Amino acid sequence: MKKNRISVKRGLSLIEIAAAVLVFSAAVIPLYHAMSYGAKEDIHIDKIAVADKILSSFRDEIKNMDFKTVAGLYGTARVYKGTEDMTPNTFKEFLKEKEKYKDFEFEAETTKQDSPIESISFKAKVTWTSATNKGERKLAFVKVNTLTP
Amino acid sequence: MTKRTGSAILLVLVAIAVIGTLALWFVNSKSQRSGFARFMSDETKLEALAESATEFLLAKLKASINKHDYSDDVTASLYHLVRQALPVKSTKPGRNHILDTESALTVSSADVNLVGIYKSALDPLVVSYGWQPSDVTYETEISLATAENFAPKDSYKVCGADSPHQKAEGSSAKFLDAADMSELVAENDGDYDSAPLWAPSGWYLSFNLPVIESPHKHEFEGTWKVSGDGGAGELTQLTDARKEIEQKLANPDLTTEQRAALQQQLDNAINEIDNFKTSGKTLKVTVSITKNGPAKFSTHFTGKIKIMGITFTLDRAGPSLDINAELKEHCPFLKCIDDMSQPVKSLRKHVFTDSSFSKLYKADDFVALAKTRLDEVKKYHNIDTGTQKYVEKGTMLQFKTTVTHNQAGKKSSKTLVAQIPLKVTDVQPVAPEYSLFVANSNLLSEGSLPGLGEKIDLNDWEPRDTPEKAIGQFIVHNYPATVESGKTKANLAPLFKNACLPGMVRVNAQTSTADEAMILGTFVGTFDEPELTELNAIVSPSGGEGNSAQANDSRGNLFRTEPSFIWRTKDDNLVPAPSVHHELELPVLFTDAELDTSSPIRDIPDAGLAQIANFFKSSAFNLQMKPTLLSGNANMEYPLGIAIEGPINRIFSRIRVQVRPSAHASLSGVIDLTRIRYNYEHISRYSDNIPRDFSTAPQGKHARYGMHKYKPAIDNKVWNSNSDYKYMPMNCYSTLQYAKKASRFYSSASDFVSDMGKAVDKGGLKNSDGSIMVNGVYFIDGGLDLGGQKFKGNGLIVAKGTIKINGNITRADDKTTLGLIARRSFIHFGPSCSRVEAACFSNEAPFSSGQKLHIDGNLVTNDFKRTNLLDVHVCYNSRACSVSPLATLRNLGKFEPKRYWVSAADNWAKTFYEKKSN
Repeated sequence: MKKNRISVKRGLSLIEIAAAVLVFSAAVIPLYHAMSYGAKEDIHIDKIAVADKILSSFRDEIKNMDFKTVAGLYGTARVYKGTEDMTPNTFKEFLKEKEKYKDFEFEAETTKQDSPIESISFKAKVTWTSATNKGERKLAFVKVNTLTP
Repeated sequence: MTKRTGSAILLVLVAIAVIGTLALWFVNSKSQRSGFARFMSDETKLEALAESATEFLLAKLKASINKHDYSDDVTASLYHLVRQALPVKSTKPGRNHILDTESALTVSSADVNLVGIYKSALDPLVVSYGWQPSDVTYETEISLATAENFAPKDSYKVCGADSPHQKAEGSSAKFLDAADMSELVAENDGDYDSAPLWAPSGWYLSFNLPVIESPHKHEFEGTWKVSGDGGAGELTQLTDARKEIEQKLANPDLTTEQRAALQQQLDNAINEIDNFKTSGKTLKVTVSITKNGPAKFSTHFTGKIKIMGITFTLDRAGPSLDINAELKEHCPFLKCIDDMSQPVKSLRKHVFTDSSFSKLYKADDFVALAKTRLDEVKKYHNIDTGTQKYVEKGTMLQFKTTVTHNQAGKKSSKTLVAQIPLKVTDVQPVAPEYSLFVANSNLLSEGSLPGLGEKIDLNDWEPRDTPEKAIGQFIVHNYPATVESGKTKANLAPLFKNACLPGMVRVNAQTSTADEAMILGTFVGTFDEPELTELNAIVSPSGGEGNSAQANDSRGNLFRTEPSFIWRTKDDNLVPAPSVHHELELPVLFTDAELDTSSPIRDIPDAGLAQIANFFKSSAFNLQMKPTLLSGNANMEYPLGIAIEGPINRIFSRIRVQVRPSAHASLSGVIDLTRIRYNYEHISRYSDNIPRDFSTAPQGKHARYGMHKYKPAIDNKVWNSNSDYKYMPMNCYSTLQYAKKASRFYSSASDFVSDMGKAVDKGGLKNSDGSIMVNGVYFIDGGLDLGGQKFKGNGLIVAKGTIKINGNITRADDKTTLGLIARRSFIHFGPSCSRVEAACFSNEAPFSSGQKLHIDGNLVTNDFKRTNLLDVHVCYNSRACSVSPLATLRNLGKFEPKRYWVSAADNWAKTFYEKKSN
């Protein structure tokens, strides 16, 4: 007499699925956190780079202006906030980034020295908000009157 | 039933491992990026500090580089850094020479406090970064990265820079050519034969005056009233008697009775003398000059005589006798012998060493100043003149600043290298040691000017329009002079606080024999303007005592000397002259109808020196007669160097006068000698001290009075050339070189004029006091109109084209030196220009419009036309032609830092950060 073969396919039990889900979760959750941290870090670094770019642009523009013009704009010792009296290219850059990130504040503190060498000191700062705290970048430089007396 | 077994756990573990690795990598890269961002931020901060520090250094440099009166080490170091003399490293024809900067000195913060210039300004910035100022260190070094001189396009050479100058003639000017300190000595020419101009001690003009050392008698006759203590002749006996009595009375051994008797005799003698005074008796007065010394001639002029120590006053009873005129007419030398020591002393006072005037001529003062300055300069520069070096240059000045931040063992640094172009420009005027320099050479002309090189007619003069306008004078004063009331007058006193020199004179021409030499008349001034030359003032016949017109003429003859004369024939043979004409050799104006047929003066003055004096005053005797003249205050025709350089013969002017013979001696009816009324003997210092009787022609070596014989430079073939750069004026650069080294370049005159109207702080040239700043070389690529400006500073205004001066040009102060250079054209002194205070260079012949013009500085020309210059005085002013005594020296002068003006570009040429070496 012939017997009919019957295929027996074994299924996954609930325990196996639960175990698999558990293991998967144990792996994915840290990965998610890592990716999440990376993304935050990316944004932070991007903002640092933007802040540096704004500060460098500001410094380069001041560097390329003649002293008389700089003294006219920044000769009074005070703090310039936001886009007040910002140099033109820096102003454009700053607005673009502010629109993109909806963030960033700019501030420049100037001090004038008349002797022995006439100069204007700049302490520029760009700040932004971040998840954990306030981000901040600084750059200080001096514009010196190098015209022949 | 088939059983398949597998490990789900393994699979999951593998998956976890892969995912974990990915996660870690992801996180790590973000951290690196974040760290990099922080690192770049630190680098940016260091860069900002380095750039700021460099900017401060640049500002300090620009403030220091032209500060001649520096007071601190930093300024001194920067000032001298750029003024180093650099040897040549390599050359290419037509290109600037590359100068060797490898061995050049540098200035570093290790040696001088360069960091102090900027540290205090940068510390607050460091603090704003959250750093400690002590954690940040700076190092700075400033050096010459590259350097080139300003070479011409072709084979042109600059005398003094590319070619040495021909050495000066005579020991007195030797110090000008000193090659080192040991040669910087003021010497004098003591040899009377070769250059008999300077006495051994000091540096002064020696002047021979006749010295009467032999008896001379002149008799006056007339009726005289006698007042005073006695009289001559009969009185002599009375006074002799009185003296004898007085001598007896002096004997201490006399008895009372003897003394009383002698006293009675004395009283009688005195009574007799008193009676004689009012007697109205005639006296025959004999004036005797003893061999042992001159008589007091003033006694004669004032009508007093002194006989045997007793003074008598003579009043003529009859018609008055003008003793002065009498004596001058008949005995001119008596005038000289009047206390001969007095005029000699006066002359010495004003010409020789022991006077305030003579101080002016002393090279010692000048040389001492030059030496002192050289000692200061030696501290910073190698003043070796052995190798060719250039101070003037275009250079790239390099600043290297390293900023290092060291915190908790972690070190980061940035090194900024920045370069800025500088020009170091020589502002010394052309040929500053010359009053007049005529180069006469196509070596300078930058083209070909017709006629250059040939002999120049220095006496060529033609009347302009009408004779009244033809003043025609061109006078070079080798010492400064001023103009007062339209008259030029030597004015030396205020100018010699800092030592000055007389000028030199040079006129080039290619001649080969003495016959071809150019002729230069020598100037004596006129009676109207005796103060034009001191020597003329000395010999002008005026200034007597009493109430004569001459006595009231205070202008001339302070020394009461008379020109002397000797017997000479036309051909200089010392034989008795049959002619009644006699030549006065001493400086008087030349007019000799026989020698100069073009001379309008035909009449020879009447006999007698009084007539000659009148001739001086006459309108016929004026500067038109000899328009090309050189003069100087007591060193006329004798500028520094004892030579007028160039193939030039100097002639004294001379005048022929008639003398009135008092007797003839004839042999065989032929007049072979003429006796002159002046019966005297005199001895010349210059001769062999043998007394000569000038009633006959002197035998042997004749005596000369007044100025020594001037040695013409033609004898020295050295000067017979204008085809070598060593005979060219010093510091004369080509047009291209001036353009290259210009601190301001103007493509047109209008730009320059516009800048003259703009304030200095707005980039222009106008100072707050209205004067025009002139520092460095201003080059105008074309012609230029000037006039009415006052200039201040040390600089040259160089125009490629014509400089037309329509008003006066003045210097603002004694420290200013201004050179006006018409490099390819000429200087035109317009009709409104009467005074130009500048060292003037004109390539083509300068031109004046005929008005009286006074140039205070010097005049250097390439071409020269006498007819272009009418009524011009060039008054040499060594202080105005040279920034300092040291700068005037031909070899050592280039080391004088004040000669150089440094101009820097507005912006950096190159900046980069040095890569860190591994």
